[in-house]
This record gives sequence, structure tokens and C-alpha cells, in this order.
Amino acid sequence: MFSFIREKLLKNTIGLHTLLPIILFIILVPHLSSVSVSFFLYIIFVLLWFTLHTLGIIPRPGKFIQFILLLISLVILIMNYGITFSQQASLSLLSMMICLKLLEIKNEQDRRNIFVILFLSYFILVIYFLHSQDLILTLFILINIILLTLMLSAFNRRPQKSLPLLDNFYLIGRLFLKALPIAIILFLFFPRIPGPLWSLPENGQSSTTGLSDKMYPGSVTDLASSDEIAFRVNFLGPPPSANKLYWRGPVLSETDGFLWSQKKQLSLNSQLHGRKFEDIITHTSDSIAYTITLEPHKKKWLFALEMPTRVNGDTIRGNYLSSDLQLLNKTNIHQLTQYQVLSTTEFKLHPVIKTELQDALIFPKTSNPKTYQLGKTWQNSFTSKKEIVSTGLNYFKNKPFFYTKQPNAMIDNPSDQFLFDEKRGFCEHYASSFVLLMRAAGIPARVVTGYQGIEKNNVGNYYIVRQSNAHAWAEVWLEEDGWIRLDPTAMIPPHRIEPDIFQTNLERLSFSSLNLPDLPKLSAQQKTALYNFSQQLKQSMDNLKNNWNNWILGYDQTKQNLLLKLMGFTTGWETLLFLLIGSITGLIIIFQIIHIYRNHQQKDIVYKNYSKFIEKLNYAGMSLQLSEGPEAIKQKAIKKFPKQKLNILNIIDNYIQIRYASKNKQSLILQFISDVKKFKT
Amino acid sequence: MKLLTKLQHWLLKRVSRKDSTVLKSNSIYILPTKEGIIYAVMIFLMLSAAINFNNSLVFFCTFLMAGVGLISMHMTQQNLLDLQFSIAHVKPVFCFQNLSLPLIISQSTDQLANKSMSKKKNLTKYSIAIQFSHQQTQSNEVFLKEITDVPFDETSLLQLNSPTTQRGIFELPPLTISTRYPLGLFRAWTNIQLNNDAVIYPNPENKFSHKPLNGTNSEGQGIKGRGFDDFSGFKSYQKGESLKHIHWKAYAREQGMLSKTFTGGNNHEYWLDWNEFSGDTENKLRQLCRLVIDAEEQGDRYGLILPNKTINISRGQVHHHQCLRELAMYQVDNV
Repeated sequence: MFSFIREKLLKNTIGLHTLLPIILFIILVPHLSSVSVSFFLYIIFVLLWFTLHTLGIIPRPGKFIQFILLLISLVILIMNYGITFSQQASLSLLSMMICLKLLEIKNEQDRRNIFVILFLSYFILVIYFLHSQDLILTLFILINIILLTLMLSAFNRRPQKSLPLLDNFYLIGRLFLKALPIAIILFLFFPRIPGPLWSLPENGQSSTTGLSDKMYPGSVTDLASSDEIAFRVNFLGPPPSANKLYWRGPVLSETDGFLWSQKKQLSLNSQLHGRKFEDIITHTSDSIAYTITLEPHKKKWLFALEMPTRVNGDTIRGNYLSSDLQLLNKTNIHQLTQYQVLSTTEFKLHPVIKTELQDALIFPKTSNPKTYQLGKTWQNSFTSKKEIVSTGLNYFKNKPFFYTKQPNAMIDNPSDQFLFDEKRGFCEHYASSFVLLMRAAGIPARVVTGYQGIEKNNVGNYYIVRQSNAHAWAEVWLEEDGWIRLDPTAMIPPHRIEPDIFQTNLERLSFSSLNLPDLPKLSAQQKTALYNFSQQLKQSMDNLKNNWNNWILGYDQTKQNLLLKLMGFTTGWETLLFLLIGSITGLIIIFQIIHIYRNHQQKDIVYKNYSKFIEKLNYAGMSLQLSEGPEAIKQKAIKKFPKQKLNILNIIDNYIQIRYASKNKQSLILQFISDVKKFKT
Repeated sequence: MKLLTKLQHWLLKRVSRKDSTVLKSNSIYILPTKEGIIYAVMIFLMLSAAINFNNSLVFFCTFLMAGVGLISMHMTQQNLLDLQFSIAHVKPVFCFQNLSLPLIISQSTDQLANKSMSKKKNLTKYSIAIQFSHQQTQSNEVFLKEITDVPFDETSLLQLNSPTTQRGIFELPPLTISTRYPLGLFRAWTNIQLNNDAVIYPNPENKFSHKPLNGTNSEGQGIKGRGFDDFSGFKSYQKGESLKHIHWKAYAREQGMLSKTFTGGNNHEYWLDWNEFSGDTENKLRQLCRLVIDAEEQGDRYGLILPNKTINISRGQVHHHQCLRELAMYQVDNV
């Protein structure tokens, strides 16, 4: 195999177009990692065919085979994506088109096809950004853009050498170094227009981890093991105390005893009917201001501390509060989104819709009979609703209930199963069972999902909320208090919280992945130090990511205006236009100055002194040109200044020695310079 | 495309004839290619995607690629800058033969500039295309388009082949120098017109169609006399003989002064007289041309009498070409 490649290299048959499928493959890697096997195999097959063709092993497929390949590609596309249009599907379509185009390349001079392939590849790279804006992906894409440009320049080389890439590398480096400042200026000062120009196609296929609008026993548990970040928070002041850190997500009030789901979302404003917002939420504490940077979760909800009172976001347009006080975006969140929220942690929430309380009493008739029975007994034995509520909470505290991240599956009447048999569960088990108990006892109740808690990043002084913070709790309505938050999970005393086997496993794994040979020999202290170090490393990495999110990904109209203000300009179109033109002009001037300076430097010291010598002669009345040969100049100068014959001879002979002798001697150059200096006519 | 041809025609009128041309920025034109326009459309599409999805990274990539396009325009122009073109001495040909013009391409940077700089920096001009400006008017295109690299401190030589149709001084049609390097998004070009010393001799009459010569021989025929071409032997040196013919090796061996003798040529000697031929001017020239060639081939001594000029009887390459040149240039201004 290797000898074959070497032979090909020697024969110069490994040309540029052999590199084309390789680069295409590299470019398609992020996409190929998320597609079906058939698609993957198809792409590999076509790329391999072309590679073998360029090596001269097999012929190029004819028109007929190309047509069949096209048909196969269409079948695969429809098989995988149907006829609906999505980002993933369009990416697949594009990559198939490129691969088929590859087979149309006749030779290296086939400019048209090669250009089409390279341009479409640029496009694919940019489309990746709509999917993810990860730091590493960005690096990957930038490198690929440079590679593509390198290919483009190599294909424009005529006559074609076997592999002109190396020659072109220097040039492309210069090209990008010069293009970078232009890109930065445009990035900073190009007017950012808010608002989509057209509505985005929704993504059907791909899903991300995160809360869903449905809850069933085990659904939140699945999130508990995910280390992924849900969102980051920057508090304007100090963060609220831990028992108030409930991030409100989907509110679930409909159930069939197993599955919990949302009611139809209505905007709060449409349901006010003359009431003011203050009538719904009466708050008794100061507002907490904070900024949330939400990772895309492809759902509509925006998280906020209970209870949000005002929202202000630039990348989110058309956000609103729903009637059950969820913060919602009009469209699904497909990319990193930043928004500012004002929340109040001490509040009294009144029902918004008339049917709200009735809906919160519905107990699915055929399900969970034992739970219903228990609730009914409580309703009959207590007169005060507050007593029922506290009985319900204490029920979890006093009975041997365990909190675990590995509960058994409960499918048939899960509440009954949990309350009377298993007694081991995660937050959704507690919340749903509690809500069902309350409903049976005649108290309006609903499940709220979201996140609980924060994790501080010491490096960047911001807070992280991970998927493992996902939580479910209950909300009950009492006449005098309104809707109040109750967290039955919090009733479990610490000794009944089962150690998190998964988490410890994970930590042990991450330790072993550090690949230290004698880890067992380390003392406990050293282990802690090591752990702290790895924690610090993790935090630094996340801090980098946070800054990336804030300043690169989150650079929008607000930040642009902020920048303008910092620079002492007024905000607006005119300023931006002025800055754009001004800085680009400045850039061109700087380029020119560097260019002139370089040209100046290019003339070396020997040349400078030689021209000085000729200037001296010219000053003394001769008219010599630098382009005349040194011998000719010597003859003319000696003729004109016979007295200086020896000096002239010295200087010119030394000059010839320096210029044309194979070895340059430093002393000779110094001698030459001093001779020129001393020279007088 | 029609507009471009019109533009090119207009630009060609502005070209002046020079011995050597150095390309300066004021004579280099640049326009985007088809691919360049597609590139621009692509960037526009990316920009609208960036605005729509409000995606900072798409913005950045769009701007980076726009910057690359812009800089590549500058580089394309730079790629032609300071190129120097001239034409070396051209060997004359007979009419309807292909003329091969050696085009010398170099970079007109000062020869004295430090050579080590050129090693550090890659100053080679890549992929310079040279073609005749009126490509479509060339009936039998011998020379289509040459693409070459011009290294910093080397001189490139390119043979331009052109068919010839007329005797006299060859007028080199304007050349278009163009490049698309580095990215092919722009095409920079310029038109140059170079002086050259090419002379097209008349197309000689077919070998057997001219009348046999008579009468003008001044010496006897068929005598193999002494000549200068073929070595035939030695004889003792006599004063006045050419030093070139002394057999120096023999002299060194103390064999006395020997002189080499040569045979060659003959002693035919005649005038080729314009007035003895019939037909129009061109016909006469063609016949004379044939006779001059034949005479040289046979080693005759000949002279040429034209209405305005007479060339004395002689022989040898210099004489031969002088005669042909006179024939080529005869009344060339009126042609």
C-alpha cells in the first residue's frame, strides 16, 4: 500500500483533486456524526470512488451511473427526512450535491465544477454555526475556511505543479492576516439589524437534553445524570439564598395519572381583563436583577427565578409571561440567548384565569385509587386546608421515604406504587404524588418543573445551572396565601438521601482519565488538592466559554451601542457608517505605510552605500545611473577623477567582490562602507 | 460579455508601442470574474443568513470571507505589478512561416536589492497568462495562451508563435497580460505592445518555377577553385595567407609553417538584377528571394540590384541575410 502511494507520488499523479475528497470528508465530519448509516455510507462510497479515480485505479462513473447515484441520494434523503424541510435535511442535501458534483470533475482544469464544490463547502461550514456555536467548532470551521481558500488558490495555479499547496501557504497566510482586521472592523461596526427577515424552519429531528413539556416518573431523573449546562446567570447583586433558588419552567396541571402535561399557553396580558399586573403578583421583597445566558434547548420557555416581574432581552423578541407565570419566547430557542430579568422572591400569586383553580382540582378518575383514598381521608379528617397541606408534607417526612437518583420504574398507577410500595423516588415522584394527594383532598395543586440551585464559578464570578439541577416541585392554592410553592422533596431528612452512585462513579472516572499512574498511592490530602485543581481547571474552561458567549456570540445591537458609547460616539446608523469608512480607510493607510517601509528596508546596506557613492559622484558633476554596470561606472569615474583612482578602484572592486563572490565577508562589507564614507571627489 | 469586448477594444486603442514595458498600477485593469460574482452572491446570502439568525459567528465568517475577497483583489493586481516585458532578437523567417518571438519576462525590481530578501519572501509572480489581444481574429491559432510563473530573480523566456502573412517588418499585435491568481475571483489584465526586430522575408518562389539564369556569369564554370569551406589538405605557408589557416599544431611540432587549404563554393559570380524579372513587384521579389537562397546554397558569389539599392557581389551568411533583408524591406512603407 505504502509503496503504491510512494510510486504515485513519484509519478506526480497525486494531484490536487486527490486532496479534494479528503478535505470534503474533514468538512463533513461534524455533519456525518449525526446522520443515519445509509447516508454516511453513501457519502463515504462517493468520496472513495472519486479518490480511487484520481489515483487512476478506477474510471470516473459515466452519465448513467451518475444518474443512478443521484436517484439513490434522493431515496436516502426522503427515507431519512421525508419531504419536510429542516436544517439537518438541507445540510444533507447540500453535502450530497457536493459529492455528486465531485464525480463530474473531468480534470484539474475543470474550473467550474471545482469552484462550485469549494463554494458550496464554504456554505456548509457556515451552516454549522446555525447548529452550534461551540468554541472548538469555531476553530474547526476557521481552519477549514483557510484550507478551502488554500485549495482555491492552488487550483488557480497554472501551470499546475503536483502539489503547489506549500508554495501557496505563505500567500494564504498573508491573505488571512490582512483580511482579519477588515473582518474585525466589519464585525464591530456593521449595523446589526434586529429581527428575523424570514421565519425559521423548525427542526424536527435533532433533540437536545433539557426539560420537556411532559413529565412522567423517570423523566427528570434522566436529566439528573447530565452534566450539561442549562444556562448561566450573572446576578447584579448577591444571589438569593439557596432555598429561594427555584428557576421556574413548564407548569404542568393536566394529568392522566401517569403523564403530566401543560395546558394551552395563554399570555398573561390577554387574561388580565382590566386587572393590573400588580393585582396578580403582590411582592413584598426587593427585586433581584440578573442576566441569563440560555443554552439553546429548542423549546419556547425562558427560565427565571420565581417570580419574574419584568423581562428585557435583545436576542429574544416577543417574549411574554403566560397565565401560569411562565416566561415564554414566541419562537423556539435555537441559539444562545441572553436576557435580563427582574424577579421577586417574596410574593403572593393570585389565580389569573377563572377555570385555573377548577382545572387544578381534576383527579384522573380511573388511576391511582389508593392515592385518591388517602387524600379523601385527609379531606374528611381535617377542617383547615393548611392542616391538610402540612399533613401531606409530613407524610413524606415521617414515613420511610427515600430520595434516590436510581428509582425503579413505575408505570401502572405510579403514585400508588410510589407512595405505598416503592417509597424510593426522585423529585418528580414526590411532586406528582403530592399534587395528586392535594387534589384528592380538595386543594388546587399543580406541578412546576424547572431547575433548583446554582453552582458558582469562582474564576468568572458567575453562576452555572446544569441539567442535573433539574427539579420538580408543587404549587398549591390556599385562600389566604394564593399559589404557594411547596417542595415535598425537601422534606426528606439527609440520612434518607441515597448516596449518588452515579455521581461518585463519574468522579472516579474523571480521576482515572487524568491518567496518573500511582493514584492509589496519593494521600487523601493530595487527592483533595488534585480534585480542587481539576475543579479549578473546569471552572476556568467554563469561564472562557462564558466570555465567549458574552462577547462574541452575544455581540448584538445592545453591545454594539455599548461599545459606541464607550468610545464616546453617539449611537446610530450615521456613526456606524462613519466608523466603518473611517477605520477601513485607516487600515488601508496602515497597509500602505507597512508596504513602503518594507520596500525601504528591502534595499540593503550595501546597496544603500553603493547608491550613496554614486550620488557623491553625481553631485561632483557626473550623470551616472544605478543601472549601469559597476565596471562601466568605474571607467567613467576614473576618467573624470583621475586623482581618486585608487579610492574608486577600491570601492568598486570591493563592491563587485561583495556582490558577486560566492562568500560574503563581513570585513569586506565594513571596509566598503567606510571607504564610501571617506570618499571625496 | 459584449460590453467587455467593447471595453477591451477601447483599451487597446490606448496602448502605445514600446521596446520594453513595465506594468504599473495605472495601466492595470481589474474586474471580477464569473466566479468572483458568484462569491459575492454567496457572501450576500451568508450575510442575510447572519442577519436573519442573528448569529455572530456567521457574521464574522461572512466578514472574514468578504475581507479575503477584497485582499485577493489587491493581490491579483499586485501579481501583475512591476512585471517587465521585452522581446529578444528574432530570427527572420520567410513569409507564411511561423514566427517565433522570444518574449522575455522579468520582474523589474532593482537588480541590486538584497538577494537574501527574496529567499525569505516568496516574491514569485504566479500564473501570468499571455495571449494575443485579438485572439479571435487569428485565423490559424498557433499560439493560444501561455501561462507561466515569473520568479523573483530569474528571467522567463516564452516563445510566442505567430503566423506571418506579409513581408517586411513584423508588427507584433498587442498582447494581453492577465492573471487570476490567487483566488480566481478577479482578473487583472493589461495590454502591451512591444517593438521587435523581426523581419519577414518574401515568400520564395517555388524551386523550379523560375527561369534558368543565363549570361551574367563573369568567370568560367565548373572549376573547383580554392574556397574556404571544406578542408582539403596542407601546403606550405605563404606570406599574406590568413593566419587562421595556419596549422599551429604542426608548427608547434616544429614541422614548419603549414597552411590548411580548403575547397568549397565555386567561382560562379553573377548579379541578380531586378530589371531582368517580369511580373509585379511582389512576384519579382519572390523570384529574387528564391534565387538568393539558391545562390547561397550552391556557394555562388552574387550581388543584388534593386531599383533603389545595389548590393555588391559577395557571399556568406551576412551577405545572404543582407540581401534577403533588402528584399523584405523593398518599398515596405508603400505596402
